[in-house]
Amino acid sequence: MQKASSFDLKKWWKSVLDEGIRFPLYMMGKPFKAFSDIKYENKGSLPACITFLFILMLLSVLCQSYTGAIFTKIDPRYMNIWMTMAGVLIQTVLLCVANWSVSVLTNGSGSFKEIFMVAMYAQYPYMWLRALYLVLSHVLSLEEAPLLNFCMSLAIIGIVFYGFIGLVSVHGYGFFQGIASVIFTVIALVIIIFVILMLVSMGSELVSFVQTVGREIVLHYF
Amino acid sequence: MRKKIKKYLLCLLTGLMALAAPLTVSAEGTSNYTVTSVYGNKKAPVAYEVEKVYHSTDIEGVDNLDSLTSMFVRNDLIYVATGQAILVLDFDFNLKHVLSSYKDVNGSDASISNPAGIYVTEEGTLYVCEPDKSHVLIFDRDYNLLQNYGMPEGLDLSVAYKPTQIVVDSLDRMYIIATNIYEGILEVSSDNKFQRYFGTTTISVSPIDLFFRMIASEEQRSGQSLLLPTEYTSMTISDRGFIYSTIRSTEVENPIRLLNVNGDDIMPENWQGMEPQGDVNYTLVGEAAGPSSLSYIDCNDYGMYMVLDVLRNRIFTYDQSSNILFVFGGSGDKDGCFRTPVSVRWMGESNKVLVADSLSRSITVMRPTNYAAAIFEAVKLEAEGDRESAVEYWRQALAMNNNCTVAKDAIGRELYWEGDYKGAERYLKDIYRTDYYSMAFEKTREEFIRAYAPAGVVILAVLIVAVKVLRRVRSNRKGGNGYAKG
Repeated sequence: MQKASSFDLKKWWKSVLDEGIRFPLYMMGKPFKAFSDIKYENKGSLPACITFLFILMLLSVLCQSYTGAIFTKIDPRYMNIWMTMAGVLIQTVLLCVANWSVSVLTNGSGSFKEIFMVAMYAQYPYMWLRALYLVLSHVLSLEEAPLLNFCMSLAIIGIVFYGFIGLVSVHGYGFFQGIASVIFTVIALVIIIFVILMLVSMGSELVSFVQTVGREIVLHYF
Repeated sequence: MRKKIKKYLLCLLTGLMALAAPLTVSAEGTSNYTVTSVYGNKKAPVAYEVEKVYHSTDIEGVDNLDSLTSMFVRNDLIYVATGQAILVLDFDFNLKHVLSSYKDVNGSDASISNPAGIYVTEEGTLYVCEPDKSHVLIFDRDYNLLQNYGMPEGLDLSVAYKPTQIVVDSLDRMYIIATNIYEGILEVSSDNKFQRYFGTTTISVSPIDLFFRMIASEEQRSGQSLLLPTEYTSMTISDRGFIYSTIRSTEVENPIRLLNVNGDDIMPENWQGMEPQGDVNYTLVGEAAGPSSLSYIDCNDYGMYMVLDVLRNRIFTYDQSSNILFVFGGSGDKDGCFRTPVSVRWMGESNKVLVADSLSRSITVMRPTNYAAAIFEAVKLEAEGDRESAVEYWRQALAMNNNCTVAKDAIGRELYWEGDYKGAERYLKDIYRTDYYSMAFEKTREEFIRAYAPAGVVILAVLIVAVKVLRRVRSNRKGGNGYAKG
């Protein structure tokens, strides 16, 4: 009780620095070691990862509405903040679920939490580069656009690189096993999306059926 | 009690239905919009209003306006092709001449029957295509027959020769569209010798199609549609000798073509990367679905052209950079809407539009509103190279329609060239014209840096010095010899 009420700002700030900056930087330098640390030494923190997820969601919104006019054709008037944020969230959750379900079938030893943390830490450089992109898009002109493209390519390469290493580390896979796991994850993703779409379309059919019946009743009896 | 339940049920059900009721959008009536972006059409002011609808009773000396097919305007005269005659009217619709019978080249009497396309040269020579009789008639300015040209020499056809549209260039070469000829437009010399196919369209077949055709059996193949190149539906020639043509096809990406002397399509994309094609946003299901079906085209002296979409009976006007300027017309019975429009023509300098409707047997004269007139004037001035004055008219148009992308574009670019980079940015940003916006942005950025860089450097230097001095003072105090304590 007493512990919860006493909030130590200095301590909190230190933990933010540790989890938000130091550990990710360490991860970027020594990814194999860092990801096995996550798995075996209980390093890394889930709250930090969830914060990253929120930051990513926020960034996606900011990028849609505040990217410099030269580098965007998206009319903010037509954008939906909640859908944009949900997009990021759904992407992440789907990816993790797909990978987790594949890993369960193929003796991967990573837990869902670990997969989620890998997904978030892998996007750490992307997060910063995306923010950089957002800022630079207000400063650069169309002629200097290659710089931004380079920035974004770097971000994507980062995701793939760290994501793959993280995957291999937390599941204890070899290289080819890792590749196979990625392929199967994609297949699982497709299946999950297909099932969801099917459910949605069937649901809408059901709704329209009920509506039609209702309309018939109204027209017939009232 | 029963009644209450009934009432309750009714409320519930109507509520449900109201929730699910689809939004109905009225499709009838005149369509006035501009296409601004991929996000859809924006409302625009009315561009053309009906001045008068002429039926045969409104024109003295004309019995009927049956089977209208085509019109042509030259030297303040309107030439109208009806079923049995070519009517020549002045701009007040006074009948000047009726060409219904003529003396054939062999001296026998003949009459006009179902003419399709007509063309009149500067000198007043009248060309008439009669597809049913497989010939092209050429009359002099007094409507005496000069030539009766049958199938051009050197043209080898397996189908009947049915010329439907004709234009003539300044060297009297004839360009003829004939039905069932898929190779392109016929280029025919002035003495009726076939020269070549002009504006030949190539068909592109996807590898997947090709594969399925390869493995298909003979029977299956006979059931498939033939892979034919597209057929031209209409054309018109500009004063500089370029041929504007339309293709009624849903499969080609560029149904409006601007053909140079070589027969190449030189129609530009607009700055948004859109090909002129009539409607950009259309439904794929339901009534009047699918892309526009273009069947008639007319151009004016300053590079504007308008096309007639017979699917939704709309008329689209573009400038020479393929920007859509305005859309008008629509399906319906009221004035200003059309049932079966067959031909559209500009009425010379007045920019009025003539629309011939074959079902209602009428010719509608439409007058540009202030909005359209401003745009016309602006485009004209731009074509003449007077951008500064054009901007004035663009501003007028913009005042009437804030969705007017073309106006914002023109004003923004002009402001850029004038050196008002901030103003240019404001207009260009609005329409996502990134290339010019970027150029303007570079300039404002430069100005910004010029203005604030020296001050920034000074402030930075002062800050660094201050920090250093402070540190020095602090360390002196800490490691000092006791003076501070004292």
